[in-house]
Amino acid sequence: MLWKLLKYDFRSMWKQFSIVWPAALILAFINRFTMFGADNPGGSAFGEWMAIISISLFSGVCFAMVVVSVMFVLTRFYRGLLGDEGYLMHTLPVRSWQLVLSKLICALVTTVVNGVVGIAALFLMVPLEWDDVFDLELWQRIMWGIRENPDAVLYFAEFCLLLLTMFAVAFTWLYLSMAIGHLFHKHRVVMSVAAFFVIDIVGDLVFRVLHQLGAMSVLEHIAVWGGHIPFWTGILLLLVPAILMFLGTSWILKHKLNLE
Amino acid sequence: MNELLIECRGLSKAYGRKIALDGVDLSVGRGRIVGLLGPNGSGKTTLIKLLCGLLQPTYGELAVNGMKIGPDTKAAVSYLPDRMYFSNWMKATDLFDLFRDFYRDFDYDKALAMCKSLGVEPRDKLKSMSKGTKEKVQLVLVMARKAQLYLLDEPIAGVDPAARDFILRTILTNYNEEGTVLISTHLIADIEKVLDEAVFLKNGRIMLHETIDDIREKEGKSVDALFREVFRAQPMEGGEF
Repeated sequence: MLWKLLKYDFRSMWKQFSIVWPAALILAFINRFTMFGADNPGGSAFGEWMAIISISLFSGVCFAMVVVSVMFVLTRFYRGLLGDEGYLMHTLPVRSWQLVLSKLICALVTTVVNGVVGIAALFLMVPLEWDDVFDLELWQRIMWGIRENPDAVLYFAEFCLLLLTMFAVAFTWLYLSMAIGHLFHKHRVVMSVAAFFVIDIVGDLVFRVLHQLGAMSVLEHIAVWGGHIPFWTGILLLLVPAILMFLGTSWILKHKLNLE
Repeated sequence: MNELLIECRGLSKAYGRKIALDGVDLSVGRGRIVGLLGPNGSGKTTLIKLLCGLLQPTYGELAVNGMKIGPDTKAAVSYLPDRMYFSNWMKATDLFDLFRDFYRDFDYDKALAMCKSLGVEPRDKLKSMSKGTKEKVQLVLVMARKAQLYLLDEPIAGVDPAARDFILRTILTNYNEEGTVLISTHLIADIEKVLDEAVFLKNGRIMLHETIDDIREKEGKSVDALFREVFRAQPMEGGEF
């Protein structure tokens, strides 16, 4: 059932971003000629204006991508599960945790695709020569470098996973805040915002208690070890609040759902 | 298979200090068309939402088909809410796909045939449809299922008398006769002729639960007349008494 839910959440995601993502890539490609083209038109007044307009449009689309992403994460959960669309989603024969997990996975995939589009836009903007791209010697050097330092790829993957876990914490934090706000009969949005800050305070208190108990010195020792362990420790430590907030959200939707 | 489709024991629901349902005991069997009748604010929508899991009871027990409310009961219930519940980017066919994915008893071909008979173009985007057409799409979604329990919340409210007949005819010609239909409304005269049983709700309590034949026999009057008598002191929609 989770796959079926994901199918519809991904379709919703595509409807939301079907203009922004291609627009970012197309504008990045246009910038390649207006900003860095071999016959740089920047020398002429027209060229300068073209460059200013195209980079402004590109910046605007990138900003829109961030805004749309934040709105998408918030509205897919709030409107999709706690608003009118919740009348459909909560009457489907699925479990509450599946509904929440589907939203979370979709939000994380959106974040990853945003990152990929951002990196691809940078590559499209920089005037790479095709001869350089297909330079066999360059690729041989890169492959040789990877073979000499196989850990480099792993470190990069671990860093990406760490970032993704941080986003998971942020999203589950938002979800739990909205779920708690939904428990109130009035001023639900205000209560959601209040819940967001209360969770922050609780997290801070837990951190202080752990610090008092000497947990931080253990982490400092782990950091000194170097290698992959600090990354995995960070990922596992971040997963704890993410899982707790995910479970809290699912519990509220299962036992306290209140679509008045 | 459980003999009773709906079982409520001491079912209560409070919104803060306001009590919407107060110790409701209700048993409904299979193959019945039941009218859940009461004025606005009597608890009809609350009871229906509890049955499909959109609300959680404050006290009491509730079972559909002998099971606590959960994915298994949701698979057996076809629910028509009193509001639009879909995203505007969707087409009716997107919703049909979704229902086919999640409900084994959804009949895709029947949904298309119903659209044709109701004059709905299923490949149009929902955002381009009128409110009435969207309501028809929701009715198609609900009635194209061979569900065990149909929960219809005010399906004829806010439409003209001709449309009411049309909606009722659509319900009656498409529901699974082995299942039960629970229709909530305060427009008694329009649905009285199709009901097997009537449940009167007043201030969150069941005032009466009888078959239509028993009501007519015992009271010597129509359900509509009895309803007006029972709820005489209650201001009805539009301010009438």
